Amino acid sequence: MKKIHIVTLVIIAAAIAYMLITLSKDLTTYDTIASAKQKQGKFIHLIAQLDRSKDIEYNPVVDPNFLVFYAVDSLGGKTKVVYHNTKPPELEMSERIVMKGKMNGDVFECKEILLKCPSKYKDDPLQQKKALEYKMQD
Amino acid sequence: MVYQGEHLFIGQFGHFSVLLSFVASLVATFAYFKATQTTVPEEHNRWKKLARITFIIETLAVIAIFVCLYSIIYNHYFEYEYAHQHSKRSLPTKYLLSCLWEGQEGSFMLWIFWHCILGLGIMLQGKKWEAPVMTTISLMQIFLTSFIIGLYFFDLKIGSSPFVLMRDEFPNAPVFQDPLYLQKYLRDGNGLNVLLQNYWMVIHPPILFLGFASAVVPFAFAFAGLWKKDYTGWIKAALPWTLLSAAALGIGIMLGAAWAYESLTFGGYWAWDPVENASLVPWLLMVAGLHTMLINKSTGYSSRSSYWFLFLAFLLLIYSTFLTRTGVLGDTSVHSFTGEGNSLFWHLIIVMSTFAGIFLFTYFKNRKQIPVIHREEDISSREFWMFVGALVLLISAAYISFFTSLPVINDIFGTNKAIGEDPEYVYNRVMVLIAIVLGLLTAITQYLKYKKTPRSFWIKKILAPTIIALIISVLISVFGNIHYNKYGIGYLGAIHLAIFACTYAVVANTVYIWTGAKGKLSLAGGSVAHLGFGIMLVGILISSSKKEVISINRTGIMIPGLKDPKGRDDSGLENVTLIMGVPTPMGNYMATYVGDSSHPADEKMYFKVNYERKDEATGKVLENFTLYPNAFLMKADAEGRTSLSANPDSRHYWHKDVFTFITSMPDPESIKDTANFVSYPVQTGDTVFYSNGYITVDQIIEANKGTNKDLPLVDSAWLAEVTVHGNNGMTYKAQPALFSKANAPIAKRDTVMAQSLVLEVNKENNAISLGIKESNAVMKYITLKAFQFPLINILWLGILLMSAGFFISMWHRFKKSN
Repeated sequence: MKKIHIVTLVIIAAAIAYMLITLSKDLTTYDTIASAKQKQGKFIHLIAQLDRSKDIEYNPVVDPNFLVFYAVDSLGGKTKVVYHNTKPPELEMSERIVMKGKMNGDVFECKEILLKCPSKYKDDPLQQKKALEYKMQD
Repeated sequence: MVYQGEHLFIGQFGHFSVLLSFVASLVATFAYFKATQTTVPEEHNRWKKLARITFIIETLAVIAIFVCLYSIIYNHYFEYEYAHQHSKRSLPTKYLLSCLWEGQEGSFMLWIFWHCILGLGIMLQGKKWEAPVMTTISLMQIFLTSFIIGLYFFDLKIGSSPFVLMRDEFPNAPVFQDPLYLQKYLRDGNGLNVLLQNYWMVIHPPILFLGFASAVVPFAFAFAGLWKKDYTGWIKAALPWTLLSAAALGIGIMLGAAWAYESLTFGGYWAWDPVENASLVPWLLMVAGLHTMLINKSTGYSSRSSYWFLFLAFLLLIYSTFLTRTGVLGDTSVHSFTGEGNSLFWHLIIVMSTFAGIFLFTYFKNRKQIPVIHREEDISSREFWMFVGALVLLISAAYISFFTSLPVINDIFGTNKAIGEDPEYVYNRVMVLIAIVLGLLTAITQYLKYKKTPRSFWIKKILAPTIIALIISVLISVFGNIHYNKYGIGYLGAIHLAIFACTYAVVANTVYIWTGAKGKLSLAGGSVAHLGFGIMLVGILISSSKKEVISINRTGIMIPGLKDPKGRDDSGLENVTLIMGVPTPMGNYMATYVGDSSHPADEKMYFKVNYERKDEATGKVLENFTLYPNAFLMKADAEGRTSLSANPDSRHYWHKDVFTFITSMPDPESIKDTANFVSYPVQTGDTVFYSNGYITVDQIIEANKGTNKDLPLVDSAWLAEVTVHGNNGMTYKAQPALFSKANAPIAKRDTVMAQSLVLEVNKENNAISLGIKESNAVMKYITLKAFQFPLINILWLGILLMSAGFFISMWHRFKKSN
C-alpha cells in the first residue's frame, strides 16, 4: 500500500470518527409542543403557530430584549414562549414559526425564531391571486 | 374580449427567442456530437461548421431574450407577470437590472448567457477539444433553456417562461373581466425586494453565475478526455478554464458575502446558511481539482482524482441549485428562495442523474486505460503534500455538504434531525482545524520540488519565512487581544494555532514571489493566489474572533435558564433601545438617536444615530460620526399589512467597522394613545412630580386683549414656562399654553419627547392647572444592535488578491497554450 493511501485512509477515518462522535451532540430534533414538554431542558426545534387569541407582550422602551407570546401547534398543544430579543417584525402575520430553544416548565425559552411569512412568498400564486383581488377593491 | 393597451409582440418575440435557443442548442449538441464521433476530417469540419452556426444563432437568441425582458421591465409593461412581480414604477433605473435576476427565470437566463459567452471562447481557443467539449456544454445548455421554456407536455409543465401574461396565469381573477384592467388595476407592479435594492445585488448575481456557468467547462474537458481516450492530454487545455472558474466562483461568493454584510442583518458576512454553503462547496472542490490537475501535468500522478474532483464540483453545483430553489430546505434557511414546486424538483434530478450517468458509465468503462503511476510519491515531493491538501479540501466540502443536506437526508430516511443549538460552531470548530492544515500546507508546499526535494535545500529556503512568520504570529497572539473564550481554551488554542498557520502561509508565499518566482509576476500567479488565501484566512480568524457586540443591554436583567453551550450564563441581551435625544452608552461610545428622514422617492426611512467617543480623563472628543441605518415598512401581504425590513449602516475604518442596524421600531399606524392627562393646580415656583422625575413651574404668564396689545389673534392667553428634570439628570424646557377666543378654549400642548411627556395648561374657576400626560405614543425610539468588526478589510483584500492570482495564472497559461 502506498503512503498516500495510508494518509488518505487515516484522514478520512479520523474525519468520520470525529463526525460520529460529535454528531449526536450537534443534532437535535423537530418536536411538537406535547413532545417538547416531555423533554424538559433539552434543546429542540418547535414548529408552531402564533396563538392569536392571546396578546403579545413587548415593550421595547421598558426592555427591548423581552418578548412573550403564546404558540399553538397543529396537534393543539399550547405553550407560553419567552424570547430574549426584539420582536420579529413579521410575528403577527406569520403563518408558521420555527422556534429553537428549551422547554422550562410550562414556558418555552426561545433562542432563535424563524418565521414563515406570506411576504417571503410574494411569488406564490395564491398570494398573487389575493393581491389581484385586493387591487380590484382599491 | 379585446384588452386595451397591452404590448403582446415583445413577449411573443421573447418567447420565440426562448424556443429558438432551445432548438438551436439541440441542433448544436447533435452536430458537435457527430463532429466528435466521425473520423473523416471533411465530415468533421462540415458538422463543426453547422454546430458553430447553430451555437451562434443560439447566442443571438439568448441576447434577444435579455433585450425583450429588460425592455418589458424598463417600460413597465405590467401585463407581464415578470414585470408585475419584480418591478415597479418608482424603482431607480440602476435597480431595474436587479429585477431581471430577482426571479428564478432571470437567474437561469444569466447562467445560459454565460454558457454562450464561454462557448464562443472555446470555439476560439479549443482547437481539437472544441467538438467534444462543446457537446457537453451544449447538452447542459439544452437543460438550462428547458428551465425557461414554459411548455406543457400533455399535463406536465416543463420550465417556466419569463414572458407569461398576468391574465394567462390567473384567468379566473375578476380583474381580467375588464378590458381596461391594465389602465385601471395593474398600474403598478409589486416591486423589488428591498434587500435586493443594493449595488452589490446588481453585480453579485452576474459574477456568481459566471462562476456557476464556468464550472461545466473543466468537467466537459475531463469528459472529453475520457471520450477521445486522451486520458491526460485534456488537462493542459483545461487548466486556464479551471482557473477562470475558481476565480469567478470565488469573487461571486465574496460579493454575496459583501452584500450580506452590508444589507442583511444577521450581523456578519457569513452565517453558514445553506444558500452560502451550496456555492462554497463547488468552489472547494474546483480548487482541489485545480491542484490535482497541476500535479498530473507536472508528474503524471493524480490522474483519476482530477476526473472525480471536476465531476463532483460540477454535480454539486447543480445540487446547490436543487437545494436552494426547490424549497427542499424548508425550515432550515432564512433566505432560501421560493420553491417552484415539484416540476423543478424532478427537472433538476433529471439533469443531475443524466450527467452523473453519462460520466460514471464512461469513466468505469475506461478506468483501466487511465494511466496511473504505481511508484509511490516521495514524502519530500511537492505532489504528495498538494494531494494531501486536495484531500483536506474534499473533507471540508463533505463536512459542509452533510450538514447542509440534513433536510434532504430527513426526506429520504424519514428522520427529523436538525442542527442543534449553535449551528455556526458546528461548522467553525471543524473549519478552524481545516484552516490550520491548509495554512501550513500552503506555506511549505511551494518550497518543495516535484518528485523529490533535497532536505538541505528545503530547510535553507524555508528557514527565514518560518522565523518571520513565528515572530509575527506571536506578536498578533500576544498583543492582538484575542480572547475568544466562548467555547473554552481548546478552541481558543486552535484559533491561535490557525493564526500562526495562516500568517505562515502569507509570509512564505510573499517571500516565494521573490525567491521562487524571481519576482516575475507572470510566473507568480500561484504564489499571489496562495498569499491572498492566507490573508483571507487571517482576516476571517481575526474579524470573527474579535467581533464584539457593543449594544449589550445594561439594564441589568439576567435571564434565568439561558446558558451558553459550555454552561455559563449567556449574556444574550444584544439590543438597546435609543430614545430620541437621549444619549445612551454603547461600548466605548455614547449613542444618540438624533432624528430620522425619508424621501418621497425612497420608501426607506433613514435613522440618524450619532456616535461619540470621548477620552475619559480629559473629556476630549476622540471620535464622532453619524450612521444612517435605514428601515422600511413594506407591504407584506394582500391585506396591506406592513412588516419591517432593515438595512445596516457601517462606519468603515481601515482597521475596524462599527456596524449598526435597526431591530425594532414603532409602527406609526399602530400606536394608540391610551394615556390620560392628570391635572395639578399650580402657581409660579411650584414643583410637580411624574414617574421619571419632576417639573418646576418657572413662570405663569397671563395676558388678554385688554392688557396686552400683542394678542391680535386670540382674546386671552395663559402660558406656563416649565423645566422638566428627568431622573437621568437631563433637563428640558417646555412652554404649554392655553388660549381663548370667543369663549372657546384652544390648547397649545407641548411635548418633551425624551421623557414621553405631553404638557398642557388648564384653567378652572380662575385657577391655573398643569396637565401632564405620560404617553408612549409621543416618544420616538428605535431599538438597534451594534457590532464592532476588526480587520474585515483584510478579508476582502485577501479574496481580491487570491482572485488576482488566479487571473495571472490563467493569463499565463492561455498565452502558453497559444
